[in-house]
Amino acid sequence: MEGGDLLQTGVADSDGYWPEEPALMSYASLKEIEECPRRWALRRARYPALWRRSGYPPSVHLAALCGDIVHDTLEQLVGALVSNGCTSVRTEDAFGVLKALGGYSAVIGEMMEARLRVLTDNPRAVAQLPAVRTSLVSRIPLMRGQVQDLLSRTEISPAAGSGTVPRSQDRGERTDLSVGSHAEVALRSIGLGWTGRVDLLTVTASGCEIVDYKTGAESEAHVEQILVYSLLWREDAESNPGRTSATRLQLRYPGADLDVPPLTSAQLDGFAVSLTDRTLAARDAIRARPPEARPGVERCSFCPVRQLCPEYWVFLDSATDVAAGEGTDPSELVVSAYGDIEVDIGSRRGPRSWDGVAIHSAVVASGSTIVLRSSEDGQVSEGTRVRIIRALLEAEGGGLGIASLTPLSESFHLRSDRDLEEHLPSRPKS
Amino acid sequence: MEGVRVDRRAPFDVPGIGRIEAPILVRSGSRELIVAIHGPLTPGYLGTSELRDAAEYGSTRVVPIDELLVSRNLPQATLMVRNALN
Repeated sequence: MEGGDLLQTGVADSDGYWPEEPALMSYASLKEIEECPRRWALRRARYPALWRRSGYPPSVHLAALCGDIVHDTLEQLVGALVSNGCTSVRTEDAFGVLKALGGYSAVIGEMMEARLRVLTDNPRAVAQLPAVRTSLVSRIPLMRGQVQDLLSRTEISPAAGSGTVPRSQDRGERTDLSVGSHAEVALRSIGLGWTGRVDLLTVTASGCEIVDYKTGAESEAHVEQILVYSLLWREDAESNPGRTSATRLQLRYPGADLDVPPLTSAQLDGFAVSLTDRTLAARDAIRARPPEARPGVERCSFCPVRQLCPEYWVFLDSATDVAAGEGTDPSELVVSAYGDIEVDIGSRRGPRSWDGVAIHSAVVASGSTIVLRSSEDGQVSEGTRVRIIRALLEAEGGGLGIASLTPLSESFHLRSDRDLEEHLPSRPKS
Repeated sequence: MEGVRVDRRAPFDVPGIGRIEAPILVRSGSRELIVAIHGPLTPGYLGTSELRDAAEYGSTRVVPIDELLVSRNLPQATLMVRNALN
């Protein structure tokens, strides 16, 4: 399945093929493209030398993984409650459904295993899996509490024909939704070129109510996302042939619900126009080769593909003020922080330490000599250039800096200088 | 904690089980949660089968707290309950 535009990253084993633009836009994709088109593209490109799956292997973040597991569990349980005609989790029927499933912890455990299975062929995650599993198991009571809390506020209207398997529009034919509650509803508007998946949609005689479960903190993006769902509901001619409107929109957070006022029909029309404009701009942005990189302190610090983005590493040099605090005199600066650094590895000092020259870093000045310490064998080798993510960086008064690889660090070897000259936008003279 | 009511050994109805005794029942507005203690060597394992069933199949959140934490670091144990309420 090779093909598409060639992507050369300059990082060993990480060349591949740029992704095609999505057939239908989703809210998550639009937001990510608007934030940084390069990030969207690098995350979804194919890297045949790394693994067989599509996209760059994702890094593991425990909190995010817990959120995904809670969401997967809710999806499973809401589907089971809907299909068994339960009106809420506070009924004897629901108790029976949960007992048949083995209880909250059992379902959470299944969802956890499913998420871990996906990571077994992920080269960035495989070494961490035992520790990740242990941490997740210890958090099951916490996740169970979150699931109970979110589920306890959920009201369900039994749909006509409940007692059957919940309708999944991904698996079957798309037809109009009957009055009642439906879990995991895929909405689609061919006219807009958009798709979205609603956690719980209840069709009423006059319209519909949409509930979206959120495991993180409240955010403006969540409000916009549920408004997109309400637009997709109105525009989805297959699920909603009567073109009714959403009458209630609810974001369900741990501890509280947030009611989002639905837009009027005229407001939805305006929203659709603005969304179409944004979609066109986003599609233009990801068709570029390479797509534009939009580095920034906040957005890059959690970017899972920043090791592949030359613009990020150049940007890092200008982020020194952020690491130091604006106005700090570099000669007085003492820093010990986790951060990223690109290093030319020089001669070996000891079993696990090397001399090096910092090329890009927000903490250690470019061109300065550093000592690099590794936590295990084989992480770095003499005469190479590496990009290290989450190194422990120590610098004192602009003097000798130390970069230590910890179990949380990742190192990525760059190809030879001659190759790099072709791919890097600019490099400091050292 | 304003608006929070805490009862010890409170009777509590769990659909599908019936009336159980909640070791500590915390109410804040319309929200309720049961606080139950577990042994340090059996994390998450609650003392009675009714509590275990309520935690696994019921709709009310059951917050298990390590008894060692209660005896050695009560502020942290209290914080866990407060976090569960928020």
